[in-house]
Amino acid sequence: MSESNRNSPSTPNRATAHPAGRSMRALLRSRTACVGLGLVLLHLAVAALAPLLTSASPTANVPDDALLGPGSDHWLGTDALGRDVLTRVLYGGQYALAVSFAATACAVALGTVLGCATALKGGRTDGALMRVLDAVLAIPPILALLVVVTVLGAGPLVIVLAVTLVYTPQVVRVVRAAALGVAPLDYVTAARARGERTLPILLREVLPNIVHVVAVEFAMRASWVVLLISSLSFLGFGADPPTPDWGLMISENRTAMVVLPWATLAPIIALATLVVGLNLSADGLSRLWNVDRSEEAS
Amino acid sequence: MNTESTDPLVRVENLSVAYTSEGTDVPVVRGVSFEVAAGRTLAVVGESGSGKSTVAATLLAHLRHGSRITSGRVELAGEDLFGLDRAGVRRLRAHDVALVGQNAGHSLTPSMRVGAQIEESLLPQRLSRRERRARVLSLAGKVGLPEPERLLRRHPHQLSGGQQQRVAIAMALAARPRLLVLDEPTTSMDVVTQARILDLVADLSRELGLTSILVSHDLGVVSRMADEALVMREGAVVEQGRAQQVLTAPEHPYTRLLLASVPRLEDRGLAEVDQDGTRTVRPRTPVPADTPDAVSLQDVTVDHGSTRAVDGVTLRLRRGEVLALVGESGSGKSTLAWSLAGLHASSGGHMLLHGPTEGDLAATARRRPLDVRRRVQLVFQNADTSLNPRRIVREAVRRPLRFFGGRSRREADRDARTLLSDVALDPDLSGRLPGQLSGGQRQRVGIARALAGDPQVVVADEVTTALDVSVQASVLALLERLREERDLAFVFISHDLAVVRGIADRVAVLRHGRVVEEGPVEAVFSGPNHPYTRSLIDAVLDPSDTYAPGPAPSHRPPEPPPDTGDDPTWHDLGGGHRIRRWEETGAEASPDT
Amino acid sequence: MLLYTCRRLVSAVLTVFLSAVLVFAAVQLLPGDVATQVLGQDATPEAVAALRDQMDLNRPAAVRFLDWIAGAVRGDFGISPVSGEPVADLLWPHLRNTMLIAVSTVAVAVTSSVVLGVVAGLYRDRWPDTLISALTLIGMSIPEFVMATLLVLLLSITVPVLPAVVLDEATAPVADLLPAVVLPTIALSVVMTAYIVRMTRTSVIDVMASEFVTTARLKGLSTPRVVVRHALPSALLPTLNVIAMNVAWLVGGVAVVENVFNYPGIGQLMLESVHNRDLPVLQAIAVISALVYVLCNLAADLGAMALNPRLRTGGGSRR
Repeated sequence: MSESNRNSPSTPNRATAHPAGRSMRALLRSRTACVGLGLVLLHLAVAALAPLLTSASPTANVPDDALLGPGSDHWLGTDALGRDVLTRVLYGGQYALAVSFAATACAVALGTVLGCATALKGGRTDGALMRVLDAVLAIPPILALLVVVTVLGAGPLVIVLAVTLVYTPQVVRVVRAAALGVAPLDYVTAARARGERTLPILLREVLPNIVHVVAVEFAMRASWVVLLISSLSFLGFGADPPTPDWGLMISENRTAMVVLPWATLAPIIALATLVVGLNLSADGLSRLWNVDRSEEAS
Repeated sequence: MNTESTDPLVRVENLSVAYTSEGTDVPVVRGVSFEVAAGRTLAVVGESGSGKSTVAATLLAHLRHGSRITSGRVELAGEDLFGLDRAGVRRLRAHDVALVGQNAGHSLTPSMRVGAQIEESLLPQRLSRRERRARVLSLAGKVGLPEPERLLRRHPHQLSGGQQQRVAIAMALAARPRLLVLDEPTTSMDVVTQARILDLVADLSRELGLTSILVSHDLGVVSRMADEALVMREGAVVEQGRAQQVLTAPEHPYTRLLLASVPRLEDRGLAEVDQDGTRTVRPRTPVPADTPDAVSLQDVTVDHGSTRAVDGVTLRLRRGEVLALVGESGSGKSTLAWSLAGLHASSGGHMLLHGPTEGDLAATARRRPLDVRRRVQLVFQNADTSLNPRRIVREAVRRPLRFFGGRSRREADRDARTLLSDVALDPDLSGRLPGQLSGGQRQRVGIARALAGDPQVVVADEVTTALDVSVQASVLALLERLREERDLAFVFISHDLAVVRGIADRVAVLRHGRVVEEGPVEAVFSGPNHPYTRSLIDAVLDPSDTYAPGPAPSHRPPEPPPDTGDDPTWHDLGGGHRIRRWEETGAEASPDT
Repeated sequence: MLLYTCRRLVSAVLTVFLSAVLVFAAVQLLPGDVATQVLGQDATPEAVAALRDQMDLNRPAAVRFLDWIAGAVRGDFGISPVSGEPVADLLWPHLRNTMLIAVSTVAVAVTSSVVLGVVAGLYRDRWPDTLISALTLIGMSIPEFVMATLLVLLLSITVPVLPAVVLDEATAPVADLLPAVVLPTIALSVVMTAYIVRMTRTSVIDVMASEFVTTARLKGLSTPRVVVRHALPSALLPTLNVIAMNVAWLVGGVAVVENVFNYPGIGQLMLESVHNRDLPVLQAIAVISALVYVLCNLAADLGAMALNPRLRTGGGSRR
């Protein structure tokens, strides 16, 4: 019965197409994922192309132009130091995006390796590692970050390292759970019965089947990291003052919010759309691939 | 038998159901019509994807999410079920129609005590609390739950599969329905439990005069239970009539094919089934007595933590021979098989591989030398999970070729194609992902992957259990052909004795990790037997048997054979047939349900 | 069951201990000398030496750690080198103030999110679900400091009923602080609710599609009965963990929000300590936070045991 269903006339063409091509098509069909990834790409493009989009300097003080409202020269007005708000918003994503994506990539990569390995190894190694990771999880991320920044200073590299440290355990949890779901399946058993070593089993059998979990985790984790890093800048421990950064801009301009709402609202909107984009991507991808996200909210 | 029988209780007219997938309607049920008179049992028979469960669900005015009725009517006592409003649907389900589903383990709410779940079905009857309690107790007794007072306070996970299904039946009966819908009620059970549950349902139906609709893929179950039968294929009815008529003198070629594919206890070999439904049984040529051993087991024990899963098993398997390991779930047969394949370490005894390549099989796969490891290969029960969904067929077969044979990629690709055609798969499928294959095709890929190691011994763990009966027949024929062509020895694990009868040369029956009976297939099936073996054989349902209405034939425990020697643990009946001695308690033959 | 509870307790204690080790190690063993860290680069060698003496830095780290943890168990976290006061005296009033916000946030967020999540799950893909899902997406995407800033603008400046900035001391009576609790609570609840709603919705949808819920429906039970008796106990299980996780997040999130409102809680103390490089205070806050996290997870596990009979009985009686 199912033999004839599977080979129904409409499938063969699509069936022989490359798997990557098929997932691409599926991706385009999911509106949520498209909108989300589109927003993220837009932000990446604006951050990369900011110097081409505006000729004004994001950092130079122009005391004469301070605190202007929106106008033809300055579409969104200027801040207390006379800097063009729009220019600063366009440049403002650079710091957050660069640091967040680097940190997320490190955390997800490290977490994936550790998560897969510990799931396959099991036993005492697994128990001990999970205990230690639990202990890291127990410390609030922002506090851990603040401690590290206090001791080591607030350079971008330090922040990337600190965020990696703080978020790796959570990635490990998610990836480990996914890998544990795959590990007892018969095709992994078949590889074990062949006597294959752990690494080839990981690379050939386990990883390809949890790649989608990792992708969703990346999008999800990126949104958390962007929020965390902006919070840090807002508190004055992230980007250093002349740097155009959304978190910093919100913190600098919020006292004058009643007078000059755009100087605060513009970076808020920029930040929120980026995070919405990341969340939509995570949503769309997980729905597309049926990823169980019950471990996510950590 | 009653005066209303001229007016059928159930009438389904030209029913068509479709679900919508990406904007197009996919028909699941096409123009099905039937009637069921009060007090009768209709069986809806078909393989997977035939739409039989969808039809059954419509009798509860239920459709799966995304499905809709495209034409036709479903009537119960003249009332159109899909014309009912919400309250009407609730009334229907609460009073008139009840369902017993396939897997009681999933259909009972895990967080509620089972007694409370039965009691809920009584709520619409507006009884007092005490009356409800009393009814629940009497229902529990009626469905044969032991110690009802205690069991009813338990949660579903604390009951065995058979007990869970008894609870589900009690729940269905509580509503005093006019129609009982049984959707594969015994599919996930082992044969002995199945027999007991079927006896129970048959007794209750007769006692309460129930009308029922039984959905099943198992023609044996149908012949045991049904008055009438309806055969479905791809959503349409191909044949319907009196069950006995359909099962003994089928008219439609598909029905004939289905019936011919069912393995029978009286077959003295594997049946070959043609597309038109003719079957020829090829008698087995016995393996010569002096054939050298392929594997020998001596007092093997395997432990799972503190429990002993396999307890002192001594067996031998000769070259080119099929040894069937038979037993219910938990008998240790799969554990033993996995130990052979190197996935569990054995904790005692000897397991040796003989033949061209010799070696010790007591070690796990990783500790075995490569050349020993490749000689014992495993084929899995569930073809859905045995192949990596992200790797195409060619890669699945190529990997062991390269791993064991050290072949170049090109050689391995070529050999993979050859292996695929050896298992009667179109080599053009080698670029497909497992998800694009049918269950039978996937199982063939699993077999090809096992062959890629160039084994001497293949361990086949319930390889046909998850397959439709017609696909099962072709996979069995394939295994038989491979055995002959390659002189392979098979360890064939199954709980289905009719399958074993056709494929095996020798049978070992396991219970609680011990062999209770072992011998050539002929000897075991002609008896005398260990009572446990007897109960397994008696539980097999043959579609061409006619079952007299009334209580099921009592399963009398067999007499012990005339004393045969002075071995304190075994009766030796000669010719390699031996039976473990047992005590005359009767408990031996009644496994817990 | 008792065994399970005991094992869980032991592992909780172990986790807190490990966290303490990590925090201590991070603070004490990272490059640079703690005394120099506290006093800054310009400090005179004499001052550094004096502080090292006062902080016992000349003894091995392991001994200091054991001393410190022994004190911490008794509620003695040492002396703040910045203010010269015992760390505990600084900590408790701030902790009390933060608890005011935390408890009210948890109460508001958990109730509203479970209700909204269940509604969204039951009305899957219809308008109530779409509305709730859109709102949660926005809630998740707006950082809590932005939420707080917007609330200040909206409520306390345009509608000046609630204080935008708290001027009270940390030791002010609870009654004085109560009006100041409202806005931070709203800001934090919005974000927290968003996360819990999503989880609840997903798990309600999963459970409503399960075979046992279908069976319950096919028994002809009323929808409220199906939802409350059959679906919810299973659906709330994963939600419990998310709630526990979120309470832990709250401890961090509260720092930023307290900063916006100048609320004298633990977050404020934390930021001050970072500015002053008051490492002993930071250490103490970290351990307290870890303790809160572990306690929340413990509570979630015990809650799961109440909802899931499988965990209660260990599935033992059958085998």
